[in-house]
Amino acid sequence: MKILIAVLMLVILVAGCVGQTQGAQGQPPTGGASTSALDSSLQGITNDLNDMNTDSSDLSTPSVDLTVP
Amino acid sequence: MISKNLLVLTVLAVFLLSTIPAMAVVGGNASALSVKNITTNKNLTKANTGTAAGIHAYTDAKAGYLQAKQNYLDAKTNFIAYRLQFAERDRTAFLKGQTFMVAGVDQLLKYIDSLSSKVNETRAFSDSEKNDLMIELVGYAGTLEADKNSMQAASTIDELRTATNKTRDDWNTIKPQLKRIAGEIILAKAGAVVAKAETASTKLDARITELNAAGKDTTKLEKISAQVKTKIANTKEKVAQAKAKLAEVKSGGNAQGLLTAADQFVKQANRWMLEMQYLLGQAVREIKHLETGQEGPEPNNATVMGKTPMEDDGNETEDD
Repeated sequence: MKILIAVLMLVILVAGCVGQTQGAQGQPPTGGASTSALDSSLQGITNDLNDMNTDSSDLSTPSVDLTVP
Repeated sequence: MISKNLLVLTVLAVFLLSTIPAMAVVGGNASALSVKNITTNKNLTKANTGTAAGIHAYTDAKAGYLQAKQNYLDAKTNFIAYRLQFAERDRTAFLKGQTFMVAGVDQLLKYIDSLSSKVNETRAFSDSEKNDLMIELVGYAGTLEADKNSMQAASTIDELRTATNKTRDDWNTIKPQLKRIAGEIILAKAGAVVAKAETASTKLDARITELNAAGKDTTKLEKISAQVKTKIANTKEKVAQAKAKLAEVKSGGNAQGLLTAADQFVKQANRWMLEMQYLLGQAVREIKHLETGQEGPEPNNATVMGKTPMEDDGNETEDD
Protein backbone atom coordinates (compact mmCIF):
# COMPACT_ATOMS: atom_id res chain seq x y z
CA MET A 1 0.00 0.00 0.00
CA LYS A 2 2.89 2.35 0.85
CA ILE A 3 4.38 1.72 -2.56
CA LEU A 4 1.05 2.50 -4.17
CA ILE A 5 0.84 5.83 -2.28
CA ALA A 6 4.42 6.73 -3.24
CA VAL A 7 3.74 5.98 -6.92
CA LEU A 8 0.54 7.99 -6.80
CA MET A 9 2.34 10.97 -5.24
CA LEU A 10 5.06 10.76 -7.88
CA VAL A 11 2.47 10.75 -10.68
CA ILE A 12 0.71 13.76 -9.20
CA LEU A 13 4.02 15.59 -8.80
CA VAL A 14 5.05 14.96 -12.40
CA ALA A 15 1.62 15.93 -13.66
CA GLY A 16 1.80 19.13 -11.63
CA CYS A 17 5.21 20.06 -13.03
CA VAL A 18 4.08 19.43 -16.60
CA GLY A 19 0.99 21.52 -16.00
CA GLN A 20 3.07 24.34 -14.59
CA THR A 21 5.38 24.39 -17.59
CA GLN A 22 2.52 24.35 -20.03
CA GLY A 23 0.74 27.02 -18.03
CA ALA A 24 3.74 29.31 -18.11
CA GLN A 25 4.16 28.87 -21.87
CA GLY A 26 0.49 29.48 -22.46
CA GLN A 27 0.50 32.75 -20.53
CA PRO A 28 0.44 35.91 -22.62
CA PRO A 29 3.69 37.85 -22.10
CA THR A 30 3.09 39.83 -18.94
CA GLY A 31 4.69 43.25 -18.37
CA GLY A 32 2.28 45.65 -20.01
CA ALA A 33 3.31 48.06 -17.26
CA SER A 34 7.00 47.79 -18.08
CA THR A 35 6.27 48.25 -21.80
CA SER A 36 4.26 51.33 -20.92
CA ALA A 37 7.15 52.62 -18.78
CA LEU A 38 9.54 52.10 -21.70
CA ASP A 39 7.11 53.90 -23.99
CA SER A 40 7.00 56.83 -21.52
CA SER A 41 10.80 56.97 -21.43
CA LEU A 42 10.86 57.09 -25.21
CA GLN A 43 8.34 59.93 -25.22
CA GLY A 44 10.45 61.82 -22.67
CA ILE A 45 13.56 61.39 -24.82
CA THR A 46 11.70 62.54 -27.94
CA ASN A 47 10.41 65.65 -26.16
CA ASP A 48 13.84 66.47 -24.74
CA LEU A 49 15.48 66.13 -28.13
CA ASN A 50 12.88 68.39 -29.70
CA ASP A 51 13.34 70.97 -26.92
CA MET A 52 17.10 70.76 -27.24
CA ASN A 53 16.94 71.40 -30.96
CA THR A 54 14.59 74.35 -30.49
CA ASP A 55 16.93 75.82 -27.85
CA SER A 56 19.85 75.27 -30.14
CA SER A 57 18.32 77.59 -32.72
CA ASP A 58 16.88 80.08 -30.20
CA LEU A 59 20.15 80.60 -28.36
CA SER A 60 22.21 81.68 -31.35
CA THR A 61 23.97 84.92 -30.45
CA PRO A 62 22.69 88.08 -32.14
CA SER A 63 24.68 89.92 -34.76
CA VAL A 64 24.74 93.68 -34.45
CA ASP A 65 26.43 96.41 -36.45
CA LEU A 66 28.55 98.39 -33.99
CA THR A 67 30.29 100.67 -36.45
CA VAL A 68 29.87 104.42 -36.47
CA PRO A 69 30.17 105.66 -40.07
CA MET B 1 -8.37 4.06 6.91
CA ILE B 2 -5.45 4.04 4.59
CA SER B 3 -7.57 4.89 1.58
CA LYS B 4 -9.12 7.77 3.50
CA ASN B 5 -5.64 9.14 4.30
CA LEU B 6 -4.68 8.62 0.68
CA LEU B 7 -7.68 10.62 -0.50
CA VAL B 8 -6.90 13.50 1.85
CA LEU B 9 -3.25 13.44 0.83
CA THR B 10 -4.13 13.40 -2.86
CA VAL B 11 -6.55 16.32 -2.58
CA LEU B 12 -3.95 18.30 -0.63
CA ALA B 13 -1.22 17.56 -3.17
CA VAL B 14 -3.42 18.50 -6.12
CA PHE B 15 -4.38 21.76 -4.41
CA LEU B 16 -0.79 22.70 -3.67
CA LEU B 17 0.43 21.83 -7.14
CA SER B 18 -2.39 23.75 -8.79
CA THR B 19 -1.29 26.95 -7.05
CA ILE B 20 2.30 26.80 -8.35
CA PRO B 21 1.64 28.32 -11.82
CA ALA B 22 -0.43 31.12 -10.30
CA MET B 23 2.33 31.86 -7.79
CA ALA B 24 4.87 31.90 -10.60
CA VAL B 25 2.79 34.46 -12.51
CA VAL B 26 2.41 36.66 -9.42
CA GLY B 27 6.19 36.46 -8.98
CA GLY B 28 6.65 37.57 -12.59
CA ASN B 29 4.47 40.61 -12.08
CA ALA B 30 6.28 41.50 -8.89
CA SER B 31 9.55 41.39 -10.82
CA ALA B 32 8.20 43.68 -13.54
CA LEU B 33 6.94 46.12 -10.92
CA SER B 34 10.29 46.26 -9.21
CA VAL B 35 12.00 46.98 -12.55
CA LYS B 36 9.49 49.74 -13.15
CA ASN B 37 10.12 51.20 -9.71
CA ILE B 38 13.86 51.17 -10.13
CA THR B 39 13.87 52.66 -13.61
CA THR B 40 11.20 55.33 -13.08
CA ASN B 41 13.60 57.83 -11.56
CA LYS B 42 11.71 61.08 -11.06
CA ASN B 43 14.89 63.14 -11.02
CA LEU B 44 15.88 61.81 -14.40
CA THR B 45 12.48 62.20 -16.01
CA LYS B 46 12.26 65.79 -14.81
CA ALA B 47 15.92 66.64 -15.28
CA ASN B 48 15.49 68.46 -18.55
CA THR B 49 12.08 69.99 -18.26
CA GLY B 50 12.58 72.93 -15.92
CA THR B 51 10.05 74.33 -13.51
CA ALA B 52 6.86 75.99 -14.70
CA ALA B 53 8.06 79.30 -13.25
CA GLY B 54 11.42 78.91 -14.97
CA ILE B 55 9.81 78.18 -18.33
CA HIS B 56 7.49 81.18 -17.92
CA ALA B 57 10.45 83.44 -17.12
CA TYR B 58 12.30 82.22 -20.21
CA THR B 59 9.24 82.76 -22.41
CA ASP B 60 9.03 86.36 -21.17
CA ALA B 61 12.76 86.92 -21.59
CA LYS B 62 12.68 85.50 -25.10
CA ALA B 63 9.75 87.76 -26.02
CA GLY B 64 11.73 90.72 -24.64
CA TYR B 65 14.74 89.74 -26.72
CA LEU B 66 12.69 89.40 -29.90
CA GLN B 67 11.14 92.83 -29.28
CA ALA B 68 14.60 94.34 -28.75
CA LYS B 69 15.73 92.72 -31.98
CA GLN B 70 12.81 94.31 -33.83
CA ASN B 71 13.57 97.70 -32.21
CA TYR B 72 17.15 97.38 -33.39
CA LEU B 73 16.07 96.63 -36.96
CA ASP B 74 13.65 99.57 -36.93
CA ALA B 75 16.35 101.91 -35.56
CA LYS B 76 18.70 100.67 -38.24
CA THR B 77 16.16 101.41 -40.97
CA ASN B 78 15.57 104.91 -39.53
CA PHE B 79 19.28 105.59 -39.38
CA ILE B 80 20.20 104.37 -42.86
CA ALA B 81 18.17 107.17 -44.45
CA TYR B 82 20.25 109.71 -42.49
CA ARG B 83 23.63 108.05 -42.99
CA LEU B 84 25.02 110.81 -45.25
CA GLN B 85 23.77 113.60 -42.98
CA PHE B 86 25.36 111.78 -40.03
CA ALA B 87 28.77 112.10 -41.64
CA GLU B 88 28.03 115.81 -42.07
CA ARG B 89 27.37 116.04 -38.32
CA ASP B 90 23.69 116.82 -38.72
CA ARG B 91 22.03 116.83 -35.25
CA THR B 92 18.95 114.79 -36.21
CA ALA B 93 21.13 112.24 -37.96
CA PHE B 94 23.39 112.03 -34.91
CA LEU B 95 20.42 111.27 -32.65
CA LYS B 96 19.17 108.59 -35.03
CA GLY B 97 22.64 107.08 -35.15
CA GLN B 98 22.86 107.13 -31.38
CA THR B 99 19.44 105.48 -31.10
CA PHE B 100 20.57 102.80 -33.54
CA MET B 101 23.77 102.04 -31.59
CA VAL B 102 21.95 101.95 -28.26
CA ALA B 103 19.27 99.68 -29.72
CA GLY B 104 22.04 97.30 -30.78
CA VAL B 105 23.37 97.06 -27.23
CA ASP B 106 19.84 96.73 -25.89
CA GLN B 107 19.43 93.70 -28.10
CA LEU B 108 22.63 92.18 -26.72
CA LEU B 109 21.48 92.83 -23.15
CA LYS B 110 18.11 91.21 -23.82
CA TYR B 111 19.89 88.23 -25.33
CA ILE B 112 21.94 87.85 -22.15
CA ASP B 113 18.69 88.14 -20.19
CA SER B 114 17.10 85.29 -22.15
CA LEU B 115 20.27 83.20 -21.86
CA SER B 116 20.22 83.71 -18.08
CA SER B 117 16.62 82.55 -17.93
CA LYS B 118 17.49 79.48 -19.96
CA VAL B 119 20.39 78.67 -17.62
CA ASN B 120 18.05 79.08 -14.67
CA GLU B 121 15.37 76.77 -16.06
CA THR B 122 17.82 74.07 -17.17
CA ARG B 123 17.50 71.45 -14.46
CA ALA B 124 20.29 69.40 -15.97
CA PHE B 125 22.63 71.97 -14.36
CA SER B 126 23.50 71.65 -10.69
CA ASP B 127 22.83 74.68 -8.47
CA SER B 128 26.56 75.30 -8.32
CA GLU B 129 26.89 75.26 -12.12
CA LYS B 130 23.92 77.60 -12.44
CA ASN B 131 25.40 79.95 -9.88
CA ASP B 132 28.77 80.14 -11.65
CA LEU B 133 27.13 80.77 -15.03
CA MET B 134 24.79 83.42 -13.63
CA ILE B 135 27.70 85.29 -12.02
CA GLU B 136 29.50 85.22 -15.34
CA LEU B 137 26.44 86.47 -17.24
CA VAL B 138 25.82 89.27 -14.74
CA GLY B 139 29.41 90.39 -15.30
CA TYR B 140 28.97 90.51 -19.09
CA ALA B 141 25.67 92.37 -18.75
CA GLY B 142 27.34 94.89 -16.43
CA THR B 143 30.08 95.58 -18.98
CA LEU B 144 27.60 96.12 -21.80
CA GLU B 145 25.32 98.20 -19.59
CA ALA B 146 28.25 100.53 -18.85
CA ASP B 147 28.99 100.71 -22.58
CA LYS B 148 25.38 101.59 -23.28
CA ASN B 149 25.51 104.39 -20.70
CA SER B 150 28.60 105.80 -22.42
CA MET B 151 26.79 105.75 -25.76
CA GLN B 152 23.79 107.51 -24.29
CA ALA B 153 26.03 110.11 -22.63
CA ALA B 154 27.82 110.90 -25.90
CA SER B 155 26.98 114.37 -27.22
CA THR B 156 29.20 114.37 -30.30
CA ILE B 157 29.98 111.95 -33.11
CA ASP B 158 33.50 111.50 -31.79
CA GLU B 159 32.24 110.60 -28.32
CA LEU B 160 29.71 108.22 -29.82
CA ARG B 161 32.40 106.67 -32.00
CA THR B 162 34.70 106.16 -29.00
CA ALA B 163 31.91 104.60 -26.94
CA THR B 164 30.82 102.38 -29.84
CA ASN B 165 34.36 101.17 -30.54
CA LYS B 166 34.75 100.22 -26.87
CA THR B 167 31.39 98.40 -27.01
CA ARG B 168 32.43 96.51 -30.14
CA ASP B 169 35.70 95.40 -28.53
CA ASP B 170 33.85 94.26 -25.41
CA TRP B 171 31.25 92.42 -27.45
CA ASN B 172 33.90 90.63 -29.49
CA THR B 173 35.37 89.37 -26.22
CA ILE B 174 32.03 88.49 -24.64
CA LYS B 175 30.36 86.88 -27.65
CA PRO B 176 32.49 83.68 -27.76
CA GLN B 177 31.84 83.15 -24.06
CA LEU B 178 28.08 83.52 -24.60
CA LYS B 179 28.30 80.99 -27.42
CA ARG B 180 30.17 78.73 -25.01
CA ILE B 181 27.47 79.10 -22.33
CA ALA B 182 24.72 78.40 -24.88
CA GLY B 183 26.70 75.32 -25.92
CA GLU B 184 26.97 74.21 -22.29
CA ILE B 185 23.18 74.41 -22.02
CA ILE B 186 22.78 72.19 -25.07
CA LEU B 187 25.36 69.72 -23.74
CA ALA B 188 23.73 69.61 -20.30
CA LYS B 189 20.47 68.71 -22.02
CA ALA B 190 22.22 66.12 -24.16
CA GLY B 191 23.60 64.62 -20.94
CA ALA B 192 20.07 64.38 -19.55
CA VAL B 193 18.90 62.67 -22.75
CA VAL B 194 21.74 60.15 -22.42
CA ALA B 195 20.74 59.44 -18.81
CA LYS B 196 17.15 58.82 -19.89
CA ALA B 197 18.32 56.62 -22.74
CA GLU B 198 20.41 54.52 -20.34
CA THR B 199 17.33 54.05 -18.16
CA ALA B 200 15.28 53.12 -21.22
CA SER B 201 17.97 50.66 -22.28
CA THR B 202 17.77 48.96 -18.87
CA LYS B 203 13.98 48.76 -19.18
CA LEU B 204 14.33 47.32 -22.67
CA ASP B 205 16.69 44.60 -21.46
CA ALA B 206 14.33 43.72 -18.60
CA ARG B 207 11.43 43.41 -21.02
CA ILE B 208 13.49 41.24 -23.37
CA THR B 209 14.20 38.89 -20.46
CA GLU B 210 10.50 38.69 -19.64
CA LEU B 211 9.48 38.06 -23.25
CA ASN B 212 12.20 35.46 -23.63
CA ALA B 213 10.98 33.64 -20.52
CA ALA B 214 7.50 33.66 -22.04
CA GLY B 215 8.83 31.81 -25.06
CA LYS B 216 8.85 34.76 -27.48
CA ASP B 217 11.48 35.23 -30.19
CA THR B 218 13.46 38.25 -28.99
CA THR B 219 16.26 38.08 -31.58
CA LYS B 220 15.24 41.35 -33.22
CA LEU B 221 14.90 43.13 -29.87
CA GLU B 222 18.31 41.91 -28.70
CA LYS B 223 19.89 43.32 -31.86
CA ILE B 224 18.14 46.67 -31.31
CA SER B 225 19.23 46.71 -27.66
CA ALA B 226 22.87 46.25 -28.68
CA GLN B 227 22.57 49.05 -31.25
CA VAL B 228 21.00 51.38 -28.69
CA LYS B 229 23.94 50.77 -26.34
CA THR B 230 26.37 51.61 -29.14
CA LYS B 231 24.51 54.85 -29.95
CA ILE B 232 24.53 55.83 -26.27
CA ALA B 233 28.29 55.22 -26.05
CA ASN B 234 28.88 57.22 -29.24
CA THR B 235 26.77 60.10 -27.95
CA LYS B 236 28.62 60.18 -24.64
CA GLU B 237 31.94 60.30 -26.47
CA LYS B 238 30.89 63.25 -28.66
CA VAL B 239 29.35 65.13 -25.74
CA ALA B 240 32.58 64.70 -23.76
CA GLN B 241 34.65 65.93 -26.72
CA ALA B 242 32.41 68.98 -27.17
CA LYS B 243 32.60 69.76 -23.44
CA ALA B 244 36.39 69.61 -23.57
CA LYS B 245 36.44 72.15 -26.43
CA LEU B 246 34.10 74.51 -24.57
CA ALA B 247 36.26 74.24 -21.46
CA GLU B 248 39.19 75.44 -23.57
CA VAL B 249 37.14 78.42 -24.75
CA LYS B 250 36.52 79.34 -21.13
CA SER B 251 40.22 79.14 -20.32
CA GLY B 252 41.11 81.52 -23.15
CA GLY B 253 41.94 79.30 -26.11
CA ASN B 254 41.40 80.20 -29.78
CA ALA B 255 37.67 80.71 -29.41
CA GLN B 256 36.52 80.53 -33.02
CA GLY B 257 38.36 77.30 -33.85
CA LEU B 258 37.30 75.65 -30.59
CA LEU B 259 33.65 76.68 -31.02
CA THR B 260 33.63 75.33 -34.57
CA ALA B 261 35.01 72.02 -33.30
CA ALA B 262 32.45 71.91 -30.48
CA ASP B 263 29.71 72.67 -32.99
CA GLN B 264 30.73 69.66 -35.08
CA PHE B 265 30.83 67.34 -32.04
CA VAL B 266 27.37 68.51 -30.94
CA LYS B 267 25.97 67.86 -34.40
CA GLN B 268 27.50 64.37 -34.38
CA ALA B 269 26.11 63.71 -30.89
CA ASN B 270 22.72 64.88 -32.09
CA ARG B 271 22.86 62.44 -35.00
CA TRP B 272 23.62 59.54 -32.62
CA MET B 273 20.80 60.62 -30.32
CA LEU B 274 18.32 60.75 -33.19
CA GLU B 275 19.32 57.23 -34.24
CA MET B 276 19.09 56.07 -30.62
CA GLN B 277 15.60 57.57 -30.31
CA TYR B 278 14.55 55.92 -33.57
CA LEU B 279 15.83 52.52 -32.39
CA LEU B 280 14.04 52.78 -29.05
CA GLY B 281 10.86 53.58 -30.98
CA GLN B 282 11.38 50.47 -33.09
CA ALA B 283 11.96 48.43 -29.92
CA VAL B 284 8.67 49.59 -28.39
CA ARG B 285 6.92 48.77 -31.65
CA GLU B 286 8.44 45.28 -31.76
CA ILE B 287 7.52 44.61 -28.11
CA LYS B 288 3.91 45.58 -28.79
CA HIS B 289 3.97 43.35 -31.83
CA LEU B 290 5.14 40.40 -29.71
CA GLU B 291 2.51 41.19 -27.08
CA THR B 292 -0.46 41.60 -29.40
CA GLY B 293 0.58 39.99 -32.68
CA GLN B 294 -0.30 43.22 -34.50
CA GLU B 295 1.92 45.74 -36.25
CA GLY B 296 1.70 49.12 -34.50
CA PRO B 297 2.12 52.56 -36.11
CA GLU B 298 5.57 53.98 -36.77
CA PRO B 299 6.73 55.96 -33.70
CA ASN B 300 7.29 59.73 -33.89
CA ASN B 301 10.81 60.81 -34.71
CA ALA B 302 12.57 63.72 -32.99
CA THR B 303 13.36 66.84 -35.00
CA VAL B 304 16.75 67.20 -36.62
CA MET B 305 19.03 69.86 -35.15
CA GLY B 306 19.56 72.89 -37.36
CA LYS B 307 21.96 75.65 -36.35
CA THR B 308 23.83 75.27 -33.06
CA PRO B 309 24.64 78.28 -30.83
CA MET B 310 28.36 77.64 -31.37
CA GLU B 311 28.15 77.92 -35.13
CA ASP B 312 30.34 80.53 -36.81
CA ASP B 313 28.10 83.37 -37.97
CA GLY B 314 30.74 85.22 -39.94
CA ASN B 315 31.81 88.78 -39.15
CA GLU B 316 31.63 89.44 -35.43
CA THR B 317 30.03 92.85 -35.76
CA GLU B 318 28.06 92.88 -38.98
CA ASP B 319 24.37 92.12 -39.06
CA ASP B 320 23.24 89.07 -41.08
